[in-house]
Amino acid sequence: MHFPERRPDHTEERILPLINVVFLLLIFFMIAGSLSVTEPFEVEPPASQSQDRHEPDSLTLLMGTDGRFAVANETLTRAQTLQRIETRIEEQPQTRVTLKADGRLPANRLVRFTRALYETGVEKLRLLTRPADS
Amino acid sequence: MQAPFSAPAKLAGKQARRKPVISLTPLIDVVFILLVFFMLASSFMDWRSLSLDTSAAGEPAPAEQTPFVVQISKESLRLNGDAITLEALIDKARARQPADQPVHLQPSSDTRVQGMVSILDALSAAGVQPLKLVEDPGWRPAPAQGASGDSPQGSATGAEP
Repeated sequence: MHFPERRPDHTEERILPLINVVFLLLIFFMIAGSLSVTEPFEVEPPASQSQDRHEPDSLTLLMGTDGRFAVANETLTRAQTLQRIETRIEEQPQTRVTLKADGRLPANRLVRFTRALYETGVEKLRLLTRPADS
Repeated sequence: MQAPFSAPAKLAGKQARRKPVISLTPLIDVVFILLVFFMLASSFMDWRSLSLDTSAAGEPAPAEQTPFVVQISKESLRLNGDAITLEALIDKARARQPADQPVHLQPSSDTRVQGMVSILDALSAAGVQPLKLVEDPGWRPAPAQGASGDSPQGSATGAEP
Protein backbone atom coordinates (compact mmCIF):
# COMPACT_ATOMS: atom_id res chain seq x y z
CA MET A 1 0.00 0.00 0.00
CA HIS A 2 1.01 3.59 -0.45
CA PHE A 3 1.63 5.97 2.44
CA PRO A 4 1.92 9.46 1.01
CA GLU A 5 2.66 11.08 4.39
CA ARG A 6 5.90 9.13 4.80
CA ARG A 7 7.81 11.12 2.16
CA PRO A 8 8.14 14.54 3.84
CA ASP A 9 9.03 12.79 7.04
CA HIS A 10 12.04 11.22 5.33
CA THR A 11 13.32 14.41 3.72
CA GLU A 12 13.14 16.16 7.06
CA GLU A 13 15.22 13.46 8.64
CA ARG A 14 17.72 13.63 5.82
CA ILE A 15 18.36 17.35 6.14
CA LEU A 16 18.86 17.24 9.90
CA PRO A 17 22.67 16.66 9.63
CA LEU A 18 22.84 19.58 7.21
CA ILE A 19 21.09 21.81 9.71
CA ASN A 20 23.44 20.64 12.42
CA VAL A 21 26.45 21.57 10.34
CA VAL A 22 24.97 24.92 9.36
CA PHE A 23 24.23 25.69 13.00
CA LEU A 24 27.77 24.81 13.99
CA LEU A 25 29.15 27.06 11.25
CA LEU A 26 26.85 29.83 12.36
CA ILE A 27 27.99 29.56 15.96
CA PHE A 28 31.62 29.44 14.85
CA PHE A 29 31.33 32.64 12.84
CA MET A 30 29.39 34.35 15.60
CA ILE A 31 31.95 33.56 18.27
CA ALA A 32 35.27 33.48 16.41
CA GLY A 33 34.76 36.45 14.13
CA SER A 34 34.47 40.01 15.21
CA LEU A 35 32.14 42.21 13.24
CA SER A 36 34.26 44.42 11.04
CA VAL A 37 33.48 48.07 10.74
CA THR A 38 33.68 49.48 7.25
CA GLU A 39 36.07 52.37 7.26
CA PRO A 40 35.65 55.57 5.27
CA PHE A 41 38.91 55.03 3.41
CA GLU A 42 41.46 52.31 2.87
CA VAL A 43 44.34 52.16 5.34
CA GLU A 44 47.05 49.54 5.21
CA PRO A 45 48.91 49.45 8.54
CA PRO A 46 52.60 48.54 8.60
CA ALA A 47 53.69 44.99 9.31
CA SER A 48 55.58 44.36 12.53
CA GLN A 49 56.88 41.55 14.70
CA SER A 50 55.15 42.99 17.74
CA GLN A 51 53.40 40.42 19.89
CA ASP A 52 51.19 42.88 21.71
CA ARG A 53 47.55 42.45 20.96
CA HIS A 54 45.42 45.32 19.84
CA GLU A 55 43.16 46.65 22.58
CA PRO A 56 39.72 46.76 21.00
CA ASP A 57 38.27 49.18 23.54
CA SER A 58 40.65 51.98 22.67
CA LEU A 59 39.75 54.92 20.48
CA THR A 60 40.92 54.20 16.94
CA LEU A 61 42.13 57.01 14.80
CA LEU A 62 42.65 56.52 11.09
CA MET A 63 45.38 58.25 9.16
CA GLY A 64 45.28 57.83 5.40
CA THR A 65 47.95 58.43 2.80
CA ASP A 66 46.35 61.50 1.31
CA GLY A 67 46.23 63.47 4.54
CA ARG A 68 42.77 62.41 5.59
CA PHE A 69 41.94 61.46 9.15
CA ALA A 70 38.97 59.67 10.59
CA VAL A 71 37.61 59.17 14.07
CA ALA A 72 34.66 56.86 14.61
CA ASN A 73 33.81 56.54 10.92
CA GLU A 74 33.88 60.26 10.31
CA THR A 75 36.40 61.82 7.96
CA LEU A 76 38.01 64.89 9.48
CA THR A 77 40.91 67.23 8.88
CA ARG A 78 43.98 67.21 11.06
CA ALA A 79 42.87 70.16 13.17
CA GLN A 80 39.39 68.73 13.66
CA THR A 81 40.87 65.41 14.69
CA LEU A 82 43.09 66.98 17.30
CA GLN A 83 40.18 68.98 18.63
CA ARG A 84 38.02 65.87 18.79
CA ILE A 85 40.70 64.02 20.71
CA GLU A 86 41.18 66.93 23.06
CA THR A 87 37.52 67.07 24.03
CA ARG A 88 37.51 63.32 24.46
CA ILE A 89 40.55 63.49 26.73
CA GLU A 90 38.89 66.19 28.81
CA GLU A 91 35.86 63.98 29.32
CA GLN A 92 37.79 60.78 29.92
CA PRO A 93 41.43 61.43 30.75
CA GLN A 94 42.31 57.74 30.67
CA THR A 95 41.31 57.25 27.04
CA ARG A 96 43.74 55.04 25.21
CA VAL A 97 44.26 55.98 21.61
CA THR A 98 45.24 53.60 18.83
CA LEU A 99 46.57 55.13 15.68
CA LYS A 100 45.85 53.22 12.50
CA ALA A 101 48.26 54.80 10.09
CA ASP A 102 49.14 53.69 6.60
CA GLY A 103 52.54 52.05 6.23
CA ARG A 104 53.32 54.17 3.18
CA LEU A 105 52.98 57.49 4.96
CA PRO A 106 56.12 59.58 5.39
CA ALA A 107 57.40 58.66 8.82
CA ASN A 108 57.97 62.25 9.77
CA ARG A 109 54.32 63.02 9.29
CA LEU A 110 53.45 60.27 11.73
CA VAL A 111 56.02 61.49 14.25
CA ARG A 112 54.76 65.04 14.00
CA PHE A 113 51.17 63.95 14.44
CA THR A 114 52.13 61.70 17.34
CA ARG A 115 53.73 64.64 19.07
CA ALA A 116 50.66 66.76 18.45
CA LEU A 117 48.53 64.02 20.00
CA TYR A 118 50.69 63.87 23.11
CA GLU A 119 50.40 67.62 23.38
CA THR A 120 46.60 67.34 23.52
CA GLY A 121 47.00 65.21 26.64
CA VAL A 122 46.89 61.66 25.31
CA GLU A 123 48.70 59.41 27.75
CA LYS A 124 48.79 56.08 26.01
CA LEU A 125 49.18 55.99 22.28
CA ARG A 126 49.74 52.85 20.27
CA LEU A 127 50.28 52.22 16.60
CA LEU A 128 48.18 49.52 15.01
CA THR A 129 50.17 47.01 13.00
CA ARG A 130 49.45 43.80 11.24
CA PRO A 131 51.38 40.60 11.93
CA ALA A 132 54.38 40.31 9.64
CA ASP A 133 53.72 36.83 8.30
CA SER A 134 50.39 37.47 6.72
CA MET B 1 -1.34 -3.26 5.38
CA GLN B 2 2.19 -4.55 5.80
CA ALA B 3 2.37 -4.67 9.58
CA PRO B 4 -0.40 -6.85 10.89
CA PHE B 5 -1.51 -5.67 14.34
CA SER B 6 0.59 -2.97 15.81
CA ALA B 7 0.70 -0.82 12.74
CA PRO B 8 -2.35 1.38 13.34
CA ALA B 9 -1.29 2.17 16.90
CA LYS B 10 2.28 2.98 15.80
CA LEU B 11 1.08 5.22 13.01
CA ALA B 12 -1.24 7.10 15.32
CA GLY B 13 1.58 7.59 17.78
CA LYS B 14 3.92 8.89 15.08
CA GLN B 15 1.36 11.33 13.83
CA ALA B 16 0.67 12.61 17.30
CA ARG B 17 4.36 13.14 17.83
CA ARG B 18 4.93 14.86 14.50
CA LYS B 19 2.12 17.33 14.73
CA PRO B 20 3.76 19.96 16.99
CA VAL B 21 7.01 19.88 14.94
CA ILE B 22 7.18 23.08 12.92
CA SER B 23 8.30 22.96 9.35
CA LEU B 24 12.05 23.06 9.10
CA THR B 25 12.41 24.81 5.76
CA PRO B 26 11.83 28.42 6.94
CA LEU B 27 14.10 27.79 9.88
CA ILE B 28 16.88 26.65 7.56
CA ASP B 29 16.33 29.70 5.38
CA VAL B 30 16.76 32.02 8.32
CA VAL B 31 19.79 30.14 9.62
CA PHE B 32 21.40 30.25 6.20
CA ILE B 33 20.82 33.97 5.94
CA LEU B 34 22.34 34.47 9.40
CA LEU B 35 25.28 32.29 8.42
CA VAL B 36 25.95 34.24 5.25
CA PHE B 37 25.66 37.50 7.19
CA PHE B 38 28.19 36.47 9.80
CA MET B 39 30.53 35.07 7.17
CA LEU B 40 30.53 38.32 5.26
CA ALA B 41 30.51 40.71 8.17
CA SER B 42 33.11 39.17 10.44
CA SER B 43 36.82 39.66 10.13
CA PHE B 44 39.48 37.35 11.44
CA MET B 45 42.40 39.76 11.24
CA ASP B 46 44.31 39.75 14.49
CA TRP B 47 45.76 43.19 14.84
CA ARG B 48 48.91 43.91 16.78
CA SER B 49 50.05 47.18 18.21
CA LEU B 50 53.22 48.82 19.36
CA SER B 51 53.80 51.70 21.66
CA LEU B 52 54.58 55.10 20.18
CA ASP B 53 56.65 57.46 22.22
CA THR B 54 58.00 60.80 21.19
CA SER B 55 60.35 63.10 22.96
CA ALA B 56 59.31 66.69 23.20
CA ALA B 57 61.12 69.02 20.85
CA GLY B 58 62.64 71.30 23.41
CA GLU B 59 63.50 68.60 25.93
CA PRO B 60 67.13 69.20 26.85
CA ALA B 61 69.37 66.17 27.09
CA PRO B 62 71.58 65.98 30.15
CA ALA B 63 74.78 67.78 29.23
CA GLU B 64 77.21 65.01 30.10
CA GLN B 65 75.46 62.47 27.87
CA THR B 66 76.09 62.13 24.21
CA PRO B 67 72.69 61.69 22.61
CA PHE B 68 71.87 58.36 21.05
CA VAL B 69 70.20 59.37 17.81
CA VAL B 70 69.50 56.85 15.09
CA GLN B 71 68.71 58.40 11.75
CA ILE B 72 66.66 56.14 9.52
CA SER B 73 66.74 56.83 5.83
CA LYS B 74 65.37 54.62 3.12
CA GLU B 75 68.42 52.38 2.79
CA SER B 76 70.84 53.29 5.52
CA LEU B 77 71.06 53.79 9.24
CA ARG B 78 73.15 56.40 10.94
CA LEU B 79 74.08 56.52 14.59
CA ASN B 80 74.90 60.07 15.59
CA GLY B 81 75.84 60.76 11.98
CA ASP B 82 77.94 57.67 11.22
CA ALA B 83 76.63 54.96 8.94
CA ILE B 84 76.01 51.70 10.78
CA THR B 85 74.44 48.32 10.10
CA LEU B 86 71.39 47.16 11.99
CA GLU B 87 73.32 44.42 13.81
CA ALA B 88 76.00 46.81 14.97
CA LEU B 89 73.34 49.30 15.97
CA ILE B 90 71.59 46.73 18.14
CA ASP B 91 74.88 45.83 19.83
CA LYS B 92 75.68 49.48 20.45
CA ALA B 93 72.21 50.18 21.75
CA ARG B 94 72.48 47.30 24.20
CA ALA B 95 75.90 48.44 25.39
CA ARG B 96 75.04 52.09 25.75
CA GLN B 97 75.75 53.81 29.05
CA PRO B 98 73.65 54.53 31.05
CA ALA B 99 71.31 51.73 30.09
CA ASP B 100 68.18 53.83 30.52
CA GLN B 101 69.33 56.49 28.12
CA PRO B 102 66.58 56.98 25.55
CA VAL B 103 67.27 55.87 22.01
CA HIS B 104 66.01 58.49 19.62
CA LEU B 105 64.79 57.37 16.24
CA GLN B 106 64.79 60.09 13.66
CA PRO B 107 63.34 59.22 10.28
CA SER B 108 64.62 61.25 7.38
CA SER B 109 62.34 62.75 4.80
CA ASP B 110 62.20 59.76 2.45
CA THR B 111 61.43 57.22 5.19
CA ARG B 112 58.03 55.59 5.19
CA VAL B 113 56.22 54.46 8.31
CA GLN B 114 56.91 50.85 7.38
CA GLY B 115 60.67 51.43 7.37
CA MET B 116 60.57 53.13 10.73
CA VAL B 117 58.40 50.40 12.24
CA SER B 118 60.88 47.74 11.10
CA ILE B 119 63.74 49.42 12.95
CA LEU B 120 61.52 50.04 15.97
CA ASP B 121 60.65 46.36 15.92
CA ALA B 122 64.23 45.17 15.67
CA LEU B 123 65.33 47.37 18.55
CA SER B 124 62.46 46.54 20.86
CA ALA B 125 62.85 42.82 20.07
CA ALA B 126 66.46 43.17 21.20
CA GLY B 127 65.23 44.59 24.49
CA VAL B 128 66.35 48.15 23.93
CA GLN B 129 64.06 50.13 26.13
CA PRO B 130 63.12 53.70 26.00
CA LEU B 131 62.64 54.19 22.27
CA LYS B 132 61.57 57.66 21.34
CA LEU B 133 60.66 59.09 17.98
CA VAL B 134 62.14 62.38 16.96
CA GLU B 135 61.07 64.44 14.04
CA ASP B 136 63.59 65.47 11.43
CA PRO B 137 63.83 69.24 11.98
CA GLY B 138 64.45 69.84 8.30
CA TRP B 139 61.40 67.92 7.15
CA ARG B 140 58.65 69.75 5.33
CA PRO B 141 55.51 68.10 4.06
CA ALA B 142 56.06 67.48 0.38
CA PRO B 143 53.82 69.81 -1.62
CA ALA B 144 53.50 67.30 -4.45
CA GLN B 145 51.71 64.77 -2.29
CA GLY B 146 48.17 65.85 -2.86
CA ALA B 147 47.46 67.33 0.51
CA SER B 148 50.15 68.76 2.72
CA GLY B 149 50.76 66.80 5.85
CA ASP B 150 49.97 69.48 8.34
CA SER B 151 46.90 71.09 6.92
CA PRO B 152 45.15 68.58 4.76
CA GLN B 153 42.44 69.89 2.53
CA GLY B 154 39.00 68.52 3.02
CA SER B 155 38.81 67.18 -0.49
CA ALA B 156 41.14 64.52 -1.71
CA THR B 157 43.27 65.92 -4.50
CA GLY B 158 44.42 62.65 -5.96
CA ALA B 159 45.92 59.44 -4.77
CA GLU B 160 49.47 59.25 -3.65
CA PRO B 161 51.64 56.60 -5.27
